[in-house]
Amino acid sequence: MKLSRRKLFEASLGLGQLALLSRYGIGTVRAQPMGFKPTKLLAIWLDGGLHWETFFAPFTAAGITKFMPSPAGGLIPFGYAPSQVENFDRTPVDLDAPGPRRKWRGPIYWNWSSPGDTTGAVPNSGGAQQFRPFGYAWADPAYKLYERAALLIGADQGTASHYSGIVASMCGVAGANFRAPSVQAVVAAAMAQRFPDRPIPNVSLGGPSPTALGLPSLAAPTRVTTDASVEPTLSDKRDSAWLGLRGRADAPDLKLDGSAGMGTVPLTVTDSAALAAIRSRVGKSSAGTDALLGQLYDTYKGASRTVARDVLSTLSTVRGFEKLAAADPKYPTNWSACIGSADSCGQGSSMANYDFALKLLKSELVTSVTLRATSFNNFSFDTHSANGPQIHTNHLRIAFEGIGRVLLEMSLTPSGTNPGKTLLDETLVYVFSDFGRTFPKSGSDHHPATCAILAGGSIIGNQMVGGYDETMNGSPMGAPVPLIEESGAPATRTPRSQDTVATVLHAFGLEGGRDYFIPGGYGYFDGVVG
Amino acid sequence: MKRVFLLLLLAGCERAPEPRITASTKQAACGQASDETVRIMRGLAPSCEGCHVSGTRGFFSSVSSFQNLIVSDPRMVVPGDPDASEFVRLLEGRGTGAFTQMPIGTKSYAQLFAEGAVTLPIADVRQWIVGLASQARDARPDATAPRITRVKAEQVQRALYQQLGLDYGDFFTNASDYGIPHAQPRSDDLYPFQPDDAYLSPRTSEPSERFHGLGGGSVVGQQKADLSIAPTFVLTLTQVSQRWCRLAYLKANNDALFPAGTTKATDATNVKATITRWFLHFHGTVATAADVDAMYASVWTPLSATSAEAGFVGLCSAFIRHPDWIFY
Repeated sequence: MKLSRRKLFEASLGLGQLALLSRYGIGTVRAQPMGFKPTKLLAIWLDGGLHWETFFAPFTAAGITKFMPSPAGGLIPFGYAPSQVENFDRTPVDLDAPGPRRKWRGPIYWNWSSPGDTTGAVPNSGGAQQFRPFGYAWADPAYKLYERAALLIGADQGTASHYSGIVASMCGVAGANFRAPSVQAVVAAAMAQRFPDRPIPNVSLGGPSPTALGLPSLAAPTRVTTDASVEPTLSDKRDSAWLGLRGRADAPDLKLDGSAGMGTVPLTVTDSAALAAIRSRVGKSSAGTDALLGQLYDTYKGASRTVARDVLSTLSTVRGFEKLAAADPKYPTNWSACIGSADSCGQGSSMANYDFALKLLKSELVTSVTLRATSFNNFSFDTHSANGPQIHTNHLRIAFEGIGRVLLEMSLTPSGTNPGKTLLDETLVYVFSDFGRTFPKSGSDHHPATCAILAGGSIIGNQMVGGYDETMNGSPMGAPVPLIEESGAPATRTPRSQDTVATVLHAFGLEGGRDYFIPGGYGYFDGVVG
Repeated sequence: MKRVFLLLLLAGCERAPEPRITASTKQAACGQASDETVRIMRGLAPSCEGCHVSGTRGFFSSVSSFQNLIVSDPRMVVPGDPDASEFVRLLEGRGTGAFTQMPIGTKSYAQLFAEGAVTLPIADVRQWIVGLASQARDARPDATAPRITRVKAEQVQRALYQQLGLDYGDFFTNASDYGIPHAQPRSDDLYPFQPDDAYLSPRTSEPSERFHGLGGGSVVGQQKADLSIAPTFVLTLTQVSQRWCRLAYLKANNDALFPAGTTKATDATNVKATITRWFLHFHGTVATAADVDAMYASVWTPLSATSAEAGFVGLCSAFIRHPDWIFY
């Protein structure tokens, strides 16, 4: 039965699309061989705290009945019954199978036979729900994106405060301030030696800044929120600021103490003056003062290299979304989504600056890109209102659809540096939020147990690791998962935010104690990184 | 020198009395946590650090914090006397301050211990205090700490407005949406910036990106201020300093950079007089002849070959990008 459905689906794609897919040599998003490590990070922050459990179903049948509302909502579906849960790979679901690993599965609101269908009834919903197509990008059998993605479930953020939770997701430890560098900065610093030509290693397109804390200045975030802000920030194109000042000369790269370094730095006259002034101030006060002067010194040099690199021209030759729309008419670049029949609608482009993020990743200018994402029209997932879970459920599916399309574009984009690889192969995509939310039967308040998606790169996909403690009432915390502790010892315990962050870093081949340190101890999810 | 240091150390700390329990639990040197203190802190951390790991009550953010903010505070811990210690009273639900019980909640620490939620018995806390030597905070400054901090985004704007003779009107006009006044940027090519908290208006296109690039925070945007030396700070300051110096140089009747009685003449004498004046103007320092000569040779000479404007704008920018302007 399943085979014939798939055959029907392939037939519905049409010969033209299949030919295009084969032309790119990427019929599905292929899993990576063991040992290949990503060199780029795309960190997507979904703003507000998520009802992950409305899209993913890491429950037993009894758990679904206990924690999730019955199917309802019509054109704005929410809630689900055990019989609505399917594996994304269409294999039979065994909801009650023991163990912490499950295939990607969730309540399916789309019509497998006709993903664009918005009129038919969702099977097993008792006629209470109509089809919604959003989120299908992850399950589309033409690409099998789920095979490249793992869901880490139930990590305790140690907080239910927004900013503190975001900090926990970025550095592993909740708090009003960072007590460890963000993963974005750690990865940027780690890749700097291998990829010295990436002039802006850690770029933030919005949201809380992925701080570098004590890491070298080159790992500190460069904040560029839009394409339009590149020119007056990272380039010397504007005469109003640069007329008569933009001339550069390669000067010997002097260290802070004035001794000779390696190579040269392309400096303007005022760059040279600033560096000389900094060197003259070193050694006259405390070590902490010298450290700050050293940061300014290194950052000036890095900024000079960035401007000299002519980032603007490089970006102008790169397109963000291009491959996916060309390969598959189901996924046009300009797409829109609606809640209900057309109760509320918005453009895919309003969900986040994905196009710019793709440009940056494709341009080889960056190592880490961080962006704030939502559903359309700046929706916030901080849905405390009475109908919060219902609205949230639908916006979350739209947001995931948007992210899925980004990943599909990446999977169709050949790597610029690794022959035979794609941009998705060389990039780890880390999707996170502030925290989870209380389960729908308990409203939609802040809840410290959250999830994260790791996709692309070296991730062993089609697995959801962990679950929820179904003996709890109300909103459960996470269930124990297999981890490799900081000591190297295997353990099974409830995960914490430190463990999610450590798993992100582990995916890059980075080692705790050598390449990073997370206060409070950490382990990485076992069996997630290939 | 070592003797002076030792005398200072002794003057700052009371001599520890003889321990009433074993030597291994004796309090360590002034301001330092003993092994037993560390054990107690770690034992309590699981039930305390959720709320006390950061912020103004970050008692559990580090061993040093625990030692200096709890153990060495006589309002919290009275060495040798658990019953007089507010710290113990809080754990036992007998607190005398705003909070009567820690951890807050319906269950006392003893109940949490009985249920296995925490593993450190209250008796250990009491015993630790019985064995504590007299405590004193280490008041000596950290010799390695930085003595400087960099200007905030707000300070960059305010200082440059004053030092360059620019003001709101150079960048914005007043406008109104739905009867709510707001600032309308004249042109992005003037490199305007404002904190987005400054706009109580329906507008969403505030030119706040440069403000955030300089590390400015926002209450409405839930963005924390950032005083790190980030690339965006350096890049933004470079761009803004060059653009705004040119604005100031070209602005009619602007006497901020060239007060009455001074000129924009390009002869060496006048330019060096300008540089001398600008050291005082931008950095508040009286420049030596060597300082002036170095700035003249390294900045003015190469840039003025293009134009006087480039020379003066470059000099102005160099003063702003200078560590003495950025740090204070």
